[in-house]
Amino acid sequence: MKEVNRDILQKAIDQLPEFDPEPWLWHKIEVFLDFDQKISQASQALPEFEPEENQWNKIDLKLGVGNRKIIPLKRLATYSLAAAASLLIIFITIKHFSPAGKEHITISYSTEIKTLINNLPSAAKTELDSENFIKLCCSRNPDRCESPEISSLKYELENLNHQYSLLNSVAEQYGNDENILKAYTKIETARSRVIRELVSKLKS
Amino acid sequence: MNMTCLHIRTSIVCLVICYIIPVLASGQSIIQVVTKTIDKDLPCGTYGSLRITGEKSEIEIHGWDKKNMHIKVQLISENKDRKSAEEELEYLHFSLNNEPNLVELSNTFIFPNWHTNIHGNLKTRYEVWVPRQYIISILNKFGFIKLYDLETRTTIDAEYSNISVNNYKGYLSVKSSYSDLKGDNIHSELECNADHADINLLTNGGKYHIEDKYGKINLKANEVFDLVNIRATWTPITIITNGMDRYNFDISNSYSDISLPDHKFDSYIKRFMNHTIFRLKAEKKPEISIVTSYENIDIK
Repeated sequence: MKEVNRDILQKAIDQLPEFDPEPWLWHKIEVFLDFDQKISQASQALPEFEPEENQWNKIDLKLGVGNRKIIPLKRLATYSLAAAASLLIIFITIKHFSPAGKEHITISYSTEIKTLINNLPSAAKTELDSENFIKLCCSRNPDRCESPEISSLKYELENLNHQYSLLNSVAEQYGNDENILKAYTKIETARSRVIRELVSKLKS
Repeated sequence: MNMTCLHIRTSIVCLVICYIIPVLASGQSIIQVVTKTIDKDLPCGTYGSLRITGEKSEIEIHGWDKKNMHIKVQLISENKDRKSAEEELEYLHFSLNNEPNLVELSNTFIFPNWHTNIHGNLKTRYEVWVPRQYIISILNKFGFIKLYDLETRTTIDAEYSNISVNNYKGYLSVKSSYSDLKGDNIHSELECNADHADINLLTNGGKYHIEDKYGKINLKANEVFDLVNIRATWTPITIITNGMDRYNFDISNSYSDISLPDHKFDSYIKRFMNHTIFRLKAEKKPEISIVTSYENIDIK
């Protein structure tokens, strides 16, 4: 790799100040290196003492072993549970208010006045009559219903009836609301339009 | 003192009666609503992607000039009693996946094995504020989608979810089934593949490729369209051009007609069998090209 600004670096190195070490520095380092050996020699020369036989009993008395309260197992379990619950709460709090992405979760309750019906209105009687009229016309005069215009409208009517049952099952399964009702209105408007077109074309 | 108390009591009773009687008479009832709200701030760069996959969701996305994202998600359960509303809220699940330059939000319904239908209503509401150049991708069924103040690339796949786009600049790809598309103050390259969709756009120019059936198309240019290309059937079409002289036309309609604002163009209209064709090509101008059938085309 090519070195950039080599001259500048060389000049800076040349300008660095020079220092000589103190004359007794090496001696100091030598003393430090012998330290472990000196300690092990000195430790062998230390005197040994045996403790009195009843020393441990004396210590026990001072600590009050005889009066020590023993926590019952049940209470210990309660304490452990409480500690675990506290840890869980701390964990959840940390998780919810983590600094990486501040998150805040709330549950709120309110009341509203509305109709909660989990199925859609069924088709009007006039529409059913019209559909029967279309079926009757097509069974009497099948050639008429084979034309591209009428067959595409008939296909569309079948599709809309299928969409209606799909929407109804969604409303039953997940609940009905204004968005589902808007979708229902859209299907019903399209159905009315197609039925109107079909009836007028079959009558003409 | 007693008289005052009596007056207050009478007023309260009257108020309660006035409140309850119309409710009962209209067939409506008091519904308990339990809402779980998740508010989250995410640090992010100016560029990245946001992907939302919703079911029965109301989605609103706002573009802003900040370098962070704010997400507010509400999981809503409505029921006649509060306990059932709380229980049914458990079936609505939300997830957030945060990867470098990609944030994914989604909700879904998970029912226990024995469960069939709920007795109330469940839905999700998303409100997200993103840097306005964030790339957006949305898939939603049975709700709505609203976009505000964005300058980006957006892909939408909507089923029974009306779409509204306000103050939008950039590329917009829409696949829509039974979902209307409404745009206001947009300058975009739109690629729209729709069925049963009413498309209503007020534009400041741009390119518009639209396919639709059993819908309605209404396009208005406040400035000049760079291109309009429509393929449709059973779909009435209205184009407000803001000056017909600014465009070339290549329009064909089967089993229906084409109406123009001025009789001076009548000589360019050709009719034979069930087809009506209007071709007007002069110098190099932006083109309005339409192929449709069964419903009228109205050029203004």
